[in-house]
Amino acid sequence: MDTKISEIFNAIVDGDASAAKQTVQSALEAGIDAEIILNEGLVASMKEVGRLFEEGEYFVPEMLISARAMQAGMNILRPVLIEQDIKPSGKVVIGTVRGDLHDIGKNLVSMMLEGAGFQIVDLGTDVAPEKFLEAVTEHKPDILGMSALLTTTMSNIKTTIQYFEEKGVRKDVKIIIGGAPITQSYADEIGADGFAPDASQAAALAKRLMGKA
Amino acid sequence: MSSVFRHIQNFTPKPRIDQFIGAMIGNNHLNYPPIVEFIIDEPVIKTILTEMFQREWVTPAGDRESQKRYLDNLIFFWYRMGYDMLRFESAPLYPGSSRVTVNTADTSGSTRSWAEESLGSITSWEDFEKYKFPNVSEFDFFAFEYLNSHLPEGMGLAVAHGGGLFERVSWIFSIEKLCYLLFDQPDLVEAVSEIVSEIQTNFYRQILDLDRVSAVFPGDDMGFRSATIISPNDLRKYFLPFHTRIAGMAHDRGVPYFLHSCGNLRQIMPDLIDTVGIDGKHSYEDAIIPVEKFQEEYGNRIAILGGMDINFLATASQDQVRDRVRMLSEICGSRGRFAIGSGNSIPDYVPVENYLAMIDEAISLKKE
Repeated sequence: MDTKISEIFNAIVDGDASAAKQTVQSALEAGIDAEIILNEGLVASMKEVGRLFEEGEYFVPEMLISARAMQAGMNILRPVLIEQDIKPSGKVVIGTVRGDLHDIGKNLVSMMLEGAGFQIVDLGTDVAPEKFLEAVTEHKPDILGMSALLTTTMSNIKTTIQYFEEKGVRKDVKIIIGGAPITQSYADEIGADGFAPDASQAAALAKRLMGKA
Repeated sequence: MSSVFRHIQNFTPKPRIDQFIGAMIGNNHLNYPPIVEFIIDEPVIKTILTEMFQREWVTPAGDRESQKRYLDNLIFFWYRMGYDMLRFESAPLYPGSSRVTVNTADTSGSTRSWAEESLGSITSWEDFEKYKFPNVSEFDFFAFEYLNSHLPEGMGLAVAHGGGLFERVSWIFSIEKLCYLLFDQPDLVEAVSEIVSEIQTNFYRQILDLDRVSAVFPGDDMGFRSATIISPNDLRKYFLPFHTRIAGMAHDRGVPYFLHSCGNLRQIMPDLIDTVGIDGKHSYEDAIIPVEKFQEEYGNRIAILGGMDINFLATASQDQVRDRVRMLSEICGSRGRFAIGSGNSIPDYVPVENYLAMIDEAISLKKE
């Protein structure tokens, strides 16, 4: 790995936002290709953060500060990516379902997806099926992500999928779901395309669904 | 409602807190699993009291009379459902905000409050200086005192400060801000944790004086699906010493320390058992580890309290709930140090009939 890329990688894994910003800037000034900075620096480092999280070495705070560092680097890199017309890995619309205001899990998933190179449209919390449909129609995402914390709000994931079916748009988007009461069997039962038990695995799942794993 | 739950209707409660505690700490073995609960939402209690027992529901207001009638209802409820121990928690007011939206479990348009996860009350030393931490000396302990002096013979009182140290601190900062502050301003986290720890310690000093207290049974959710929320090292540094202190106070008073804590706590279970000294653990989710598996691992060292998965309890049929009671009784009950109940609590989205089916079946086992 190039020294400058490895500095970006380490800054993000260590959660050092200031260093992430400086190292991305420095790499760009050194003429390193923006796509290489993105994939070998930012995306690779967040993949490592996800690995550390899955292995029980990193926890929510470590993941959050790494994501913050990644975003600091991305803020420097994004204008260059746009200028060079470098496309994201895919687009994800995400939100917690109607009646559900618990969003730290959803936020972590958004950060990990962004770290995996996806463009995120975050609808926030307590999102009605109609709002999900509106966003999917407007943004045309590859993936729709929904989460719920409680058994009582979990049923609104199913309601939203049914609403998409009724409106004839279910096949237009892959749907991934997560949250404390959700299981793979529930995802299968309601016809979701995927389930992930945590933020790191959600990013891997999204890549698999995009055929980029 | 009544005819289906004939065991509840027909049995005469005979609470034996001495037997219950003895069984939980491993001094004696019961041939049936006693029942236990952490929290039962008021709409559930209200429905059962008014529809099954034709009692008048009283919402407590500022006056003592309504408070007494409310507490009488609580006592009647826990007694008639067959509990040996009434669990009660309360807390002084910690300023802060919560998120509110429509309660999807209720078609009447009521609301549900959620923890504010992003916008905390304290995010800087300036906020800290302004924040009005509660003063325990101003707290009204009437409810604890009334329960203490009005419990039926043989029944014990499990007490707690509402919201454990980790929960309270994460609500004050918001969980998201707390996570950042652990890296950005650990001294601020330490300062708030110390103050809240002191408040709760003073609170426990007051309630542990009550003579009917039979257990200290706080809730402090420290985990989520796959791990603890913050690292075990940070929990050890900021939060677990508090639990060690309160467990010590409980033990000095001669009562066990039962801890309700949600999430996957695998990495701190040795701390909770060996250092904190918990006598029992409550809160289990099948998606993390089914209670019977958890008991295989830790049941020889601590009591296993509750365990019926809340998602199952909320969605299964009554017959399935009854089958699960029998299964848990056979597997976990036969091993001892086990009390049956929900894996988490009885929120208002658990069908009342399912809760009653769980209790009714547990009471039937008591009779066999």
